[in-house]
Amino acid sequence: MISQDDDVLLNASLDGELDAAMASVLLQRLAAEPELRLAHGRLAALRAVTSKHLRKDAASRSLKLRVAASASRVGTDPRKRSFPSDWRAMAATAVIAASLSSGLTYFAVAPDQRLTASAGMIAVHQHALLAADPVEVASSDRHTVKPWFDAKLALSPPVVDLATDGFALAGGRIDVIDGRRVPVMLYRHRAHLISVIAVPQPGSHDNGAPATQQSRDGYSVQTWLATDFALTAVGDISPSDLSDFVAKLRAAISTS
Amino acid sequence: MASDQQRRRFDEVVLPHLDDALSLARWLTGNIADGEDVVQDACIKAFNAIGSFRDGNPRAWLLAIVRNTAFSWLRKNRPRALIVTDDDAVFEAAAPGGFEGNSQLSPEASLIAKTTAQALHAAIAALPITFREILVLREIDEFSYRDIAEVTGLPIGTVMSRLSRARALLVDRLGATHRKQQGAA
Repeated sequence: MISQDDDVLLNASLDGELDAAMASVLLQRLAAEPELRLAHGRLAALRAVTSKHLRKDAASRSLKLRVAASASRVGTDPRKRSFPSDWRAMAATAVIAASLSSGLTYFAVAPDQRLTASAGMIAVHQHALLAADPVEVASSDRHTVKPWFDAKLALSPPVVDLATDGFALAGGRIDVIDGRRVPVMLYRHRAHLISVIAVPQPGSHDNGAPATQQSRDGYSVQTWLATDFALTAVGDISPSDLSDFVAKLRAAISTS
Repeated sequence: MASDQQRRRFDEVVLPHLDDALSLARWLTGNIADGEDVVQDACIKAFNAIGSFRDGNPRAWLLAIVRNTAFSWLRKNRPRALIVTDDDAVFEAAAPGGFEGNSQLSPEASLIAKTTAQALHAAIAALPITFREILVLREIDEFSYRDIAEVTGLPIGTVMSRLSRARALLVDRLGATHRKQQGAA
């Protein structure tokens, strides 16, 4: 028997809506609490089934024609629907409500980080540390790593080498976040390993906004947007060292 | 008369998202044919409002219109579909602890995983519409919680609790199907 708050938490985790800190706490609780683990197992099974059996319906040709025809027939409506203003109001309401809602809900969702909030960013990094070999493709040559991702995942995350800045590209690996295979780039900084996890985010670009920062269990985590990806850097280095890395990585990506 | 500019904008903002629009409308109305009527209706509304759509998420903007249109359609054609059971009662029925004695069965998860498409569709169709719409927006249209809040105009906390209830109801129903089969066997 788990509480409703925990149930909401598990759902948020499976939907990739938890920030890294909450996700990390949940991972530890899952390891310690069998009931929670069972509930998680049921929900994960349900998610797997829904993603297998639920498909978007394709609009038929006849529907497309109907829509096109009706759109070209109608004139501008003098009554002018007020959807856009409703829309703005709704969006504002959602934001305010989110910040007012209580307890767990407030902490569980980090709306500003919804593009990047994903369970297990730290776990991904830990996988790399625990693996016999953290990299699946070991190369400091981005012209080797990039095509490898392209071949394995049909994704082309930004890969640059920062050896001259003290962060040598070690290679790449593939990990799974919320059932999605994502590319992870690994960099070495002295004795430390840094994971850069690239979650596909079509249409995004680096708008120059500062990376969101978190620290948890000795790991520093920073997330920012790049072209078509949300990037998250995780490492057991100080936040200021990670900031330095992220700044150099962003600069190198933008000029690559 | 519709201006060329208006039509171009409509082509850019609305047409790419017809599949999403249909998927939502179909699950709200209960079938494809009615879903198509709702989408057509919603597209006319979107066309008339297109001039005031500036930026933001066009897919969420369109689906908010589809949702409103679908609820109007249901009020007119299927008023009974809108009779929503008291949320608390449904919550209770689908409380996370509803498994009680069975909660220790880890094979339950693997049996849920074997649910057929048909059984899953039936279970979703049987969900109260307030839960069904959130589930469809999340699972089929793959919206974030925040986008769902924008489409539905609900607070994020409500989106989260309804989604977790929707899934609890599905787990309960699919698990119960299994238990029934076990009992019959």
